[in-house]
Amino acid sequence: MAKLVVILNGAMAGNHFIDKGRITIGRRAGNDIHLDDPGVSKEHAVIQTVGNDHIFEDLGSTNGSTLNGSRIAKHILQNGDVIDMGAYQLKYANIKANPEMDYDRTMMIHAVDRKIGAVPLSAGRDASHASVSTARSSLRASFPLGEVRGIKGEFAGQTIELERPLKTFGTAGGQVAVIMRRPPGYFITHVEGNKAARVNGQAIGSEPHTLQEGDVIEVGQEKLEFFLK
Amino acid sequence: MTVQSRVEFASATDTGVVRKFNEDSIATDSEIGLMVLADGMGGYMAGDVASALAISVVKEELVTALGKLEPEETNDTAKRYLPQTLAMKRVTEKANQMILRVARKNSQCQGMGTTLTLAVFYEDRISIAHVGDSRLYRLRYDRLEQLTMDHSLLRGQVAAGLIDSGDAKLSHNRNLVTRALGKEEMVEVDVREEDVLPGDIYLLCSDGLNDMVEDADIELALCELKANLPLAANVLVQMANDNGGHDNVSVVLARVQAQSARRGLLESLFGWLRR
Repeated sequence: MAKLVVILNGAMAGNHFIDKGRITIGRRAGNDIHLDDPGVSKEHAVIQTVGNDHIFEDLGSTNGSTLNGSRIAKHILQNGDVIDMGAYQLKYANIKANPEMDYDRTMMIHAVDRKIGAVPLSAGRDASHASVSTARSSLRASFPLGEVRGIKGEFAGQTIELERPLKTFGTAGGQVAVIMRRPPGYFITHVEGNKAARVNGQAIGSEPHTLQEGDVIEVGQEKLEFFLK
Repeated sequence: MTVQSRVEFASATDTGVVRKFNEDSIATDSEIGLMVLADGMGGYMAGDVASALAISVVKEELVTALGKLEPEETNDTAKRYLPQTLAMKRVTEKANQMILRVARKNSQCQGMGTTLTLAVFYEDRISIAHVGDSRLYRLRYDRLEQLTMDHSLLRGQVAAGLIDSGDAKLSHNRNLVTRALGKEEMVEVDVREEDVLPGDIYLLCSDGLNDMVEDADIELALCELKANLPLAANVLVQMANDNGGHDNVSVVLARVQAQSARRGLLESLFGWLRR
C-alpha cells in the first residue's frame, strides 16, 4: 500500500498509509496528517485516491506546497516525490507508481456509480506502471542525430536534420523511400515506385537498409548524402 | 460500385517487447467493409480467448445481420442510426453474451474480458461501434483525429477536471477500462456514424500503440507512408516496440480510394459533355 513518510528537520517524524479515498493535511488537529508548524495552513492540502492514482492538491494554502522546488497546485504523485509544506516534508512511497517499472495489464474496474472517487479494483493483480515519456526520451537521446545534405534536386545545398522518427524523400506517385530513425540508428526503406531507391549506386531492395556516414542516396529527382552529427 | 471495393485494408499485430502472449485479435473483411480489433484481458491466460471469441462472433454474425437488416424499430435510438449501425450494436451485445457463456462453463476463463472496436464502411458512410479503450482514428487532409472516446478511468478523470490532459501521462490509471465485454450481462455500446471522404485513412489500434507512441508521431507515420499501407502498419508497430513495447500492439488500417463512386459518376458525366 502507498504511504506518506513525514519528515521534520531531516528526520522521520511519522508514517501514514493512504488507506482511504481522501486524506487531509494541515495545522488543525482534526486533519488526518497533522503538521504543527506556522508555515502550514490549517487546511493545507488533500490527497485523493482515484484508481491507482493519488492526487495531491493544495487547498490554496498561505505559504503553498512545493515539489522539487516548484510550487504545485495539483499533482499526480509519483514514487519518491517529496513535497515541502512549511518546515515539514512529505515523501510519497508507492512501488506501484514507479516510473521505472513495467506497465500493468489492462484491467476492468467497477465504475459503480460512475462518480469519480476511490474506485475498487475488480481484479487483485498487482499494478505497476511506467512513464512513457522517460522511457522514450532516454531511447532517443542514446544515439546521434542524423542529417541529409542535398546534392541534387529539391534540397540541393540544404541540410535537413532527421529529428523525427521518419521522413520520406522522392516523388509521390513515382519513387519514394523513407528514412527511419530508430534505435540504434537510421534505416532507409522502399515506400513506392516500381524501382527502389539507390544507396551508393545499389538498389536498396524491399528490406530496411542501414545507413552509414557518407552514404549517397538517390530517390526520385533527389540525390542526398547522409551524415551523423 | 460499392464503397467496400474502394477500401484497402492492411494490418499488423505483435506481442511487444515485454509480454509473453499476444491477447489482441484483429480481422478485416473486404466483402462487408469491416475492420475490427479486440484487446483481451483477465482470467488465467484467457484474454486471448475473449478477444478471439469477440472477433469470430462479429465476423460471423455481422455477415448474416447485414444480409437481412431487421425492420426499422421505432424507438429514438433506431431513428437516429442506420440499420447497419444498429446491427453492429446487436452483434457486439451477442459477443458479450458469448464471452460470458464460455467464462461460466470454463473455470480457466473466469474473469476474462475484452475491448471491442469495429467499423463498417457502407456507401459513403462509416459506422463505428466500440466498448473499452481501443481507438479508432481518422487521418483526413493529413490531420489525425480520434473518433472514439476511451471508456477508461483516466479519460473520466480528465473529463471531470480532476487531471489536466497534459498531466495524463503521469497517471497510473491508463490501463483501467470502465467498460468491457465479458463483465456484465448488459453492455453499453457506443455507436457513431461519419461521412467518408476519398483519401481518408482510418486507424484502429490497441492501447499498446497509443500509450507508447504520441499522436503527433502516429500522424507523421500515416502522412508520410499512406502510399504504402502495409508498410505504414508495420512501422507503427515497430515505433511502439522501439519506444519500449510494454504491451501487445495491433493496428488495422483502411484507406478510402481517391476515386469515389460519386466522383466517378460526375467525371463520366463531364467526360460525356466534353465529347
